[in-house]
Amino acid sequence: MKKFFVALFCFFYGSSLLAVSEESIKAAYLERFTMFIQWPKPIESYTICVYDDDSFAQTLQKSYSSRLFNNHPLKVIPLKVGTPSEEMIKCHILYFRGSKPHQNEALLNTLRKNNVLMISDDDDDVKRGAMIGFYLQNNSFRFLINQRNLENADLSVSYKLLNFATVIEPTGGSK
Amino acid sequence: MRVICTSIASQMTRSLVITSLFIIVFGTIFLSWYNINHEKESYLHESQLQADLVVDLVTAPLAFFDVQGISTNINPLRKNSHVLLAVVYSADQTPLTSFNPHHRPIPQLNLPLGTRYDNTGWFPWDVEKLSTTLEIKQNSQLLGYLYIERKTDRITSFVMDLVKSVTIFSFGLLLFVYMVSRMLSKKILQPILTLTEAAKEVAQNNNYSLRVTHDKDDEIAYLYDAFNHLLSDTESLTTHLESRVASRTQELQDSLETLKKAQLQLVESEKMAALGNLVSGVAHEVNTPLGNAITGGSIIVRETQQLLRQIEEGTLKKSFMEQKLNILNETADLLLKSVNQAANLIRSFKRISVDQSVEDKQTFNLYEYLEEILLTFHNKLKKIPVTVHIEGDTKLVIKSYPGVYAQIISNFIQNSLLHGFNESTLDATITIRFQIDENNLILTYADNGAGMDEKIKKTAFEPFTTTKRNAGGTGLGLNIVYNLITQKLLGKIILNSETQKGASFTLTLPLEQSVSGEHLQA
Repeated sequence: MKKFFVALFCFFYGSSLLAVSEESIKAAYLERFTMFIQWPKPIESYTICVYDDDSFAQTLQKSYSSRLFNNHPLKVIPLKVGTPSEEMIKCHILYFRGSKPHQNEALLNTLRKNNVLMISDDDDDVKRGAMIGFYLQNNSFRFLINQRNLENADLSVSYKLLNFATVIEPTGGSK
Repeated sequence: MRVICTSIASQMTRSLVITSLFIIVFGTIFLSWYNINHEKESYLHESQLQADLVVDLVTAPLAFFDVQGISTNINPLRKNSHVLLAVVYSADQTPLTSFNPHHRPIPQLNLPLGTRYDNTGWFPWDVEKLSTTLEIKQNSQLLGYLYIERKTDRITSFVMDLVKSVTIFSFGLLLFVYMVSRMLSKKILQPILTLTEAAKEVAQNNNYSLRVTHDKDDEIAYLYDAFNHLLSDTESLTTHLESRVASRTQELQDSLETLKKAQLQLVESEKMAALGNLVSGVAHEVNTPLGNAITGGSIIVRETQQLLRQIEEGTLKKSFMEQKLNILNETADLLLKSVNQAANLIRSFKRISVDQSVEDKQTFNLYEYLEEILLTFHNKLKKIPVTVHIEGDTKLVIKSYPGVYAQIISNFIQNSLLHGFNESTLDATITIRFQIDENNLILTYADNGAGMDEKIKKTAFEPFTTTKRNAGGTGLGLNIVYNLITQKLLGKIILNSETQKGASFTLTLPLEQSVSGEHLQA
């Protein structure tokens, strides 16, 4: 774990991107998100659904096979394209890696009602329904947060995270 | 005249100023101590709050490994000129980024956690720096540490400002107290000072007609009234004092005269009593030899008549004649002895009585004179009986007043007979001892009679002190003795006595007064 973080910091200090993989960075980011976001119900173990990227799902599961994910066990569920929404509502985090299901209002409502944190690799998704979207800036991964979407899903986010991230205003702008 | 060195007003001012000084000093120390500690606590709390804020700001960048973000978020510290050094460490205590305007070496992480003053000295302002070490945690996961070092010049500056303010305030307060105390002491003490001046005037010039006035209605007014009343009384007393003194003096002189007369009468009575005793003694002593002489004369007459009758009858025989002549011879011898004894007695009595009446100094043998005095008490001493011992140089001749000695010894013997002994006394003894000690004649008279208790001893030489007034005591005997010794012989007398252990009188009589050198013989 320590080596992992040292590697991450080396990366941020300008080392090669090759030193640490994008998957590793995002896997770490997912855990860090859970530190700053609170679900309305107590969590005994985290369930992360990875949509359309089995490889990442395996990597993520492998990363936390011998250690806890934010002090809790982690279960990673890879989702295929076309997985019905009933499967999706079992997840605490739904991470869209590749393609995405059509985000119609009914699906979004179902997911919000079940307090599912939606994270996407496409930062434009935060304007549609996702709460967090990654983007690359100056060779570093950054993320957008849609505070309204988080509130709609009854998810509480720490002001510390809001202060650090780029937050999409309800009107659609960012700060 | 008493000189006032420190006035009441000065004392009052000094007391108030000193008291205020104490209060100010202790109050200042306490308040300074309190304020400095409070300032330190405040600075510490403020620093803690700022550190907490920085921790909040850097938590997310640290969580997402954004060193640039961490560096940006410690910006609030850059605006604070007191910050010497701020370092953010990773969870494994590796320094990640720092704010180091003074280029201080980045220290190893300084645990324990919290905010505290380093190198605190004895005084509350004696601190070197303030350091804060905080954990950066999110959701109970340790992400790193924040370490901040601050200057403490704010505390020093506060202390300096405080000292300046306190000094100025203290001096101002002291000045104010001084002025107020001067004003108050003047206001309160002025009436007393006025009274003091009036008292001084009265004491210096005896001006009892002086009066002090006031327009108040308080304790001072009461004091003024009392002073005026006292002056009034004193004036009244002074005015009538001379006539009262003259009147009292006259009364005292009259009383003294009366007392002197009474004393003289009593002394005369005592003398007459002593003379009566003397005459009685003389009569008694002379009676015996005269009786013997009468008896002898009668025998001579009777024997002579027998001889004459036988001569006339012509029956006288030689043997009868010889017998009667022997009787006549013995009787005539007895008669002569008796008459000589009577003549000796009369001579002694005459000498004593003459000595008592003549006040001139005479030269006499002390031992023989004491024996002659004892002769006058022969019968009285024999009656109890009392053995008298005279111990001393039988050849000592002194020049003094023999009558005084006779009076002194007579009084001692009469006291012994009247008070010391009675008929049941066994082995009654009087001892008269005398010797020369340097230039003094030490004469001791002692008996082994009843003695005196402490109460009688204390008043023995005072006039009219007696325990036998009903039995003929006048209470003047020892007083006369005391006066004769101290005034006539210029000596001293010491009385020693205990109940049932007899009484003794030790007389110390200066020889310069009582004996001349040519007559002093060993």
